[in-house]
Amino acid sequence: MPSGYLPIFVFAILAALFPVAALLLARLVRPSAPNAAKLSAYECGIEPTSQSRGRYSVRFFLVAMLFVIFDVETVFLFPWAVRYRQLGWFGIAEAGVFLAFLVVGYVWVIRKRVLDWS
Amino acid sequence: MHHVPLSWYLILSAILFALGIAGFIYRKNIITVFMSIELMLNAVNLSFVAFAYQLRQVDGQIYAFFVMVVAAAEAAVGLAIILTVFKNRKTLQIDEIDSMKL
Amino acid sequence: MPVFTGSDMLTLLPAIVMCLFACGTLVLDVMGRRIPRGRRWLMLFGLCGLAITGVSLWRQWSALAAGGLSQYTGAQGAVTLDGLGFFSNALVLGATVLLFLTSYRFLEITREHSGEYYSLALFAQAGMYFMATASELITLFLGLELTSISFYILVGFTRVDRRSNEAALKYLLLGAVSSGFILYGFSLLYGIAGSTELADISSAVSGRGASDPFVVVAVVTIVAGLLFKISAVPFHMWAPDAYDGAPTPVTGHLSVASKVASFAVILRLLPMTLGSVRSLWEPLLIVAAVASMTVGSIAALTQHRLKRLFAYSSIAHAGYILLGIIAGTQMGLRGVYVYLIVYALMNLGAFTVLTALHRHGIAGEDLHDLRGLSTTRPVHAALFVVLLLSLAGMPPTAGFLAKYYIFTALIETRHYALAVIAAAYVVVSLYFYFRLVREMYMRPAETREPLAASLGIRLSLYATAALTLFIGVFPEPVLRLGFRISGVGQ
Repeated sequence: MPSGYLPIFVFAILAALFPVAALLLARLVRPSAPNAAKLSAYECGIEPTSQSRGRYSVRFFLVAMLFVIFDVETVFLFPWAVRYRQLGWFGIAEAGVFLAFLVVGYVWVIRKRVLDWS
Repeated sequence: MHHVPLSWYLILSAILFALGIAGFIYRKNIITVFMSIELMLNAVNLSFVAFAYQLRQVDGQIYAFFVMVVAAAEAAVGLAIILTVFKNRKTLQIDEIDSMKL
Repeated sequence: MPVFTGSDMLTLLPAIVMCLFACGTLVLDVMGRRIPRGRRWLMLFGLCGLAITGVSLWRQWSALAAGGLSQYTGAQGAVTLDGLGFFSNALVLGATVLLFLTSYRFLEITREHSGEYYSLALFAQAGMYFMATASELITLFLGLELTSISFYILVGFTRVDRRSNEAALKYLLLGAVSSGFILYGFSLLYGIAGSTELADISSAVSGRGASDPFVVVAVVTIVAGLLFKISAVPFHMWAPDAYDGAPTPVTGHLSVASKVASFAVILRLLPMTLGSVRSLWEPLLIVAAVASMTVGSIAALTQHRLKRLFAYSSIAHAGYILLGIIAGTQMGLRGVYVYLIVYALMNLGAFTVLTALHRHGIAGEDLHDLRGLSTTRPVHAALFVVLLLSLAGMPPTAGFLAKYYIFTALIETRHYALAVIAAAYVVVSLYFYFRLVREMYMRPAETREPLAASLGIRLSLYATAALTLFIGVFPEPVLRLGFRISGVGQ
């Protein structure tokens, strides 16, 4: 049985208990007098004008997809960064080839006007 | 220094993989089905990383990198296809996409 | 410190050429939108790339022959050049060339003509190069996924067509799950061997034996995933829908190229790498083969949509090819190679005819679209009959030769029951191929609209039909090729 995790367990239990206890205590001692002003957004932005589950423009999905792809691809640059000195010129050349392929994708995206918002 | 034994990771990975399969079979919304597939791939990643840690090797972790990237590419293509399906028929319920039953 | 040597260049060149030309096609497509007849130049550019790939494959083959080697592993153990790899690559390359030739007219008619189509086909070709030659799990997985993802997009390429979308969605969901299964098996193999190289895995697995639970789970999940890829029963449900909805040239390519490459993966993983635990996977393959022949032959009887019919027929053919692997002898493997060549030829020819049926305003995907073809286009009809006879396995066509080898191998290895079942389904399949012939020759034509014609379509149809007949009558060259490959790859 791994013992190094005991403090984490204790912490997790305390973290779960604290809000429950605090809310229960508050409920017991506070007076109950609801009104409209209390339910409005208080210094936290403006009143929402529509449902939060409304439709988004397709553009958001396209940009999100492109972000996911280009973001995840960079994961391959990290191993190169860690072993930069040992890999030397070979590593630089490989990373160059890799980035060249990404640039081809980027050029294609731009020429397809996916990032054109006007 | 105590370690979590390898078998625990593998059991967790198998459970996650089985949950992914169950989600794939029983869920009706395409997006949820798709998320179940991602869960399967991540279960595999977990077992790769666990093996790599156990074997003191880096191969398994590199494998997990590649799986992540491929999963991202698959997700992008999948979402694009789901988007065109939705544009053409305004539903994402899997039983309603059946114009090719026998 | 790693360096990129000349031998790495030699082993990777075909894939490098394909990737460069695929990227080039993408860039040229978006840069040169206004060039008149730009699409034609793109197609020719892609064909140039395929030709260069062919030359570099030939260079590899002659370099190996000059060194007197039966196989060569390069790129730091990632890629192995051997008979199986050359065979599968050459076949897939031919299929891609025919895809280019037949697609041009089809894409014009469907108004979906764009460079991405050719680019994706080239990426798929690069992926299939790695499927056929990878000798290491990461490379194999990447090849598998590069191929699959390209095909997901190609299947859904006609975006406004609901059936095409739906086909792509089903193919993607089921394909992704099958990749997940294969990957889970790979992770266990990696854990068993502590290495991703197939040679290390082979010796580690034979050390563990067939009773080790890790080995059992790994073999079962990998076999299940691979059966998905070749659309064998019980993992065939995606095939009829994907074949039916995909653009017709893509259906042909999917049924030939991706199946040949997947069989290359099966041959490399099961008999070559996991041969020591044959007792685990052989029963699974036997069940899948018998079920595929049964479901494929019987479900095809009632189909009236042409592409679904061919989907079920190709499920049945996958069953026959599996029988050769089950026999497992030199004779059986030679049968697999000969069958794959013949299957590729006759299926590509048949799908070329289906592509030609797709005209302005006529989908040409239903059985009655064939009516009266013998009077309107007698040459097309006659060549289609040759291809259908071959698909049914009748002499004097190549299909007979392929089935003959499989049956001989089964009888040699005393799989009498399997041989009898397989022979029975040959009779069943005769009936549903005959239905097509009846529509062409015994029913009057419904339309006078001429077939879609282009030089590429004609070339592709004549070449496949002629080769099908030629191999049936003069089998010597193909047999020698099959003999040489099955001897080299062992």
